[in-house]
Amino acid sequence: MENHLTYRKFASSGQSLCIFSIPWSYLVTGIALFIIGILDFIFLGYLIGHPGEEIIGEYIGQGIAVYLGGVSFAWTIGLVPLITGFIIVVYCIYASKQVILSRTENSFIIQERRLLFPFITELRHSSIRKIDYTNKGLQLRHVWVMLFIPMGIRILQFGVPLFNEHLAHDNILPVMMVVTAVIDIVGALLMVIVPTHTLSFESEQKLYTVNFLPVISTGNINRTLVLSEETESHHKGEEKISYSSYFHLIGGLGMIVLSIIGLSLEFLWGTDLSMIGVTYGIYLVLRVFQNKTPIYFTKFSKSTGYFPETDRPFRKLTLIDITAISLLIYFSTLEFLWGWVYFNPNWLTILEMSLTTVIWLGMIFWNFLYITVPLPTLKTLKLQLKENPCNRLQFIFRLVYMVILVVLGLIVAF
Amino acid sequence: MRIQKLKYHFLRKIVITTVILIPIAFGGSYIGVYLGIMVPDLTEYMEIPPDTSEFYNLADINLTRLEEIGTEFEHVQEKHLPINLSQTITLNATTGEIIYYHRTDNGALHTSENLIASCFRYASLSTGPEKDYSLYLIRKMLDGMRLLIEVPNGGLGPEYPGTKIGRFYAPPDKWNDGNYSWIFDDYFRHFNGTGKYSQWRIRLYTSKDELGGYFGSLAAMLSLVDVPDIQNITKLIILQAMEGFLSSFWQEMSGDGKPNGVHFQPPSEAQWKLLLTKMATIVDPDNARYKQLFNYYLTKERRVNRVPFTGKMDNIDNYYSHYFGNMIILGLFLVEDDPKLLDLYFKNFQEKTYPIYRGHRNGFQNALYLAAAAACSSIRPADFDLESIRWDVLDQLWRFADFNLIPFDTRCGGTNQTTSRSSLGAEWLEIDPNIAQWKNFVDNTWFGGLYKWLTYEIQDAVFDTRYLKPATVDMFRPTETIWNKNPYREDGVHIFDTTNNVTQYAGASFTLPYYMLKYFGYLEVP
Repeated sequence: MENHLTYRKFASSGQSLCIFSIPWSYLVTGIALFIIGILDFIFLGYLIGHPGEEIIGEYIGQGIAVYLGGVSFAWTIGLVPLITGFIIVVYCIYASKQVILSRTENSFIIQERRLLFPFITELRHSSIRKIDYTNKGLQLRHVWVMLFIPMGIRILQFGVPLFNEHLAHDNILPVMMVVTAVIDIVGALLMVIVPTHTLSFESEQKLYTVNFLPVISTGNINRTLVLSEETESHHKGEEKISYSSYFHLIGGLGMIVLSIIGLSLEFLWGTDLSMIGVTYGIYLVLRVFQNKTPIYFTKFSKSTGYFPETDRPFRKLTLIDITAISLLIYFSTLEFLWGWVYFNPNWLTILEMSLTTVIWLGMIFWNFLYITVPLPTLKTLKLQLKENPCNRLQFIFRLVYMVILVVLGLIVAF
Repeated sequence: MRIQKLKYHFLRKIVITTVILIPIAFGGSYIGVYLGIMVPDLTEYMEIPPDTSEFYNLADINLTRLEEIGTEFEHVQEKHLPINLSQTITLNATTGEIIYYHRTDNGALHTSENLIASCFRYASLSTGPEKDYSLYLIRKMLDGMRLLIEVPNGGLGPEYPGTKIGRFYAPPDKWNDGNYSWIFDDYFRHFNGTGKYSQWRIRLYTSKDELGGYFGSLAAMLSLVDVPDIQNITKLIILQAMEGFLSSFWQEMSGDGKPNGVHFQPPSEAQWKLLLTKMATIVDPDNARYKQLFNYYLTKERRVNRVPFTGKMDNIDNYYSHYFGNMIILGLFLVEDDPKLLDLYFKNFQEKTYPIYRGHRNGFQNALYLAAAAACSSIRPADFDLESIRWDVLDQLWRFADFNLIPFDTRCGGTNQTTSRSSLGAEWLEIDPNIAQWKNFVDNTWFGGLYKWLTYEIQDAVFDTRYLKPATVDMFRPTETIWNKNPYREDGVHIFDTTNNVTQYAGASFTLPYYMLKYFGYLEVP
């Protein structure tokens, strides 16, 4: 029985656990985004065109964005939150559910009771070789950081200077811009910081996954989900921050600080580089706290003869890592080189370029370590490279990747 | 519960990636077809150098006469400056008396183009009454420039950050003057001035047209007119504008204290920020921040490979933006003295921007290339044949003489009409065949239909009639500047009734390219 549609509550004779799941962080963010989107259109208008020659709406004295005769600021700052907020709220209504996990003599029964598509699935114990439970949540949610952090920062850049413009009768526009930006940024962080829980069952052929964010739970998942002939169980409690985490933290915070300097003072890092820097920096810092997971276990079944993968010698690079690192190295190399080629000395430019040089070297070094040398296994790296040809190949490949980025920057610069 | 088959895990990843990539690839293709195929296809012929066999013989172009024409136009200019802003005028056809001054939405731009011309004239003349006369005109127009920034911001200088620069202004005593009462009407572009100018009227909601001309004229005065009072006022305006744009994150404000949509942040090209910042470094050389910002905008915003730049899209839509955009580029070449930067600007300009103008027969754009080549003559050789470009400009200027277009008015040398294409032969009426092809693509194919919103709404001039041969001076309407008009669209069919009155435009269509050539040494006037 897989994803059988039923509104009836399954009555279990065995051990049972009930979880009420509401994705509240999404719900709060979605409502806030939706409301601010509406308020933007109310307070800033929905004009398209020149005042007096409007195509849509009318000018209500709150400025025009993008170009002369363009659109009201509501379109640029409020439309995305409005649409995204609405989608998130609808999703939350769908995703709010009661998850009932039951363990009978021969099977696990997972029932998701919700408004739409209430499914029930039964999994035979004997078919399950691994159960995985984590609160790391979905990696996909980092999309919110990528979307809302740059957007929020750009809105702040345009909005903050508008306060107290001497001919303005009010501060409605800058206030709406700042509030919208803050909601964008805080909402994105909230959705990422409060992660979804993921419970997955793996059989030889299939992977069954259920996501939830528990608000109330009537039992202990670890005790409920016991595999027969269980041979190995990894259970992690709250971890201390590792060296690797400090490494992420230093890199991430460094990028955030440099980017804020670049974006607010127009110093050191250019706008694009700073946007990438602050977004990736936040991503790195968030990952540190996500990796510090208080709830996590993996169970393996002896009968299936399945064992976990050994630890990776190198960091797993996500698509976000690869994209961000590529852009960071490429852009910073261009800025560093062009900065020196067209250098025009005074005390401030000397200071800026000296710092730029140190930062560029530091970033190349940090990225080199990040890509090629995982700190926790630094001591064993030599051994791993010596013993495993695949590791050697991967090490070389990662080095080449780094070199290509720098060389590409050099080529474009000249 | 989400159920995935492990067997097809890799395959599923490929499918999901493909599904995600399809819209991205489609979007890329959609934009790529437009910008990479359609626009180049519609503009490529404009890059072919003009046929010089249609030019006047160089030997027949009398440089002495051109110099006389320049002087005549310069003397006509004074009539166009009743409140120190250049305006088109209508005169009594019999008495020559001015009947009225035309209202304009581009007072700053039209004053600037004439002011720049006067600055070049001033700098290329030796001491004497004509030079003094040019200085007199410059002072008048500079006064107009000053008031355009002073009236809306309440004062002159950096302590009154110039977040607003006007299109036009009128002093309070003009409210009852029929020539200016329009600016006292309620309209979203009309505002009272600030501070001591609170009784003045200012037309704001200022576009880049105005700002391009305005910055270009500041660059011309700063670099070409070394006279203390001119320099002092120019420097105060530059610092005021610089502080204004820095305080507003490079956004232009309207009279309600709100952004009007004009800004110099990307996707605006870097030359806007660079010109104003460079001028600020010249005016205040001890200000380390200005110098740092200049380097920042050039290198940290990574515009080294793309400054200065204007795109070919404007060849088929919004042609006028080339004109004010090129005023900024002219300003860059005027104020820059670092050979390394001049080399960079000229390299980029002749590789990426000037080629799109090569066939236009546009006197100002060609004069700009010649000016840039002269400014960089000791640094980088010109890629284009300077002699044929000079000939092109002179040919266009000589038409003012040959068609008796001095002054430039609706009498059109006594014919009361401009030269129409049809009068020149069938080849002048040949239309770019690619327009019909692409129109057919948009109108009759499903994929092409996706561009309707773009080609019929946003850029609605894409399928307008464009001839293969560019218009010459004698085809253009003599009531406004001609170098911001698309020469491939001009059909020359303009007939004027001059029985009672004549409308006259000031002389910049002639004087701007002419004095640029003269200043940069392309004319050896006997």
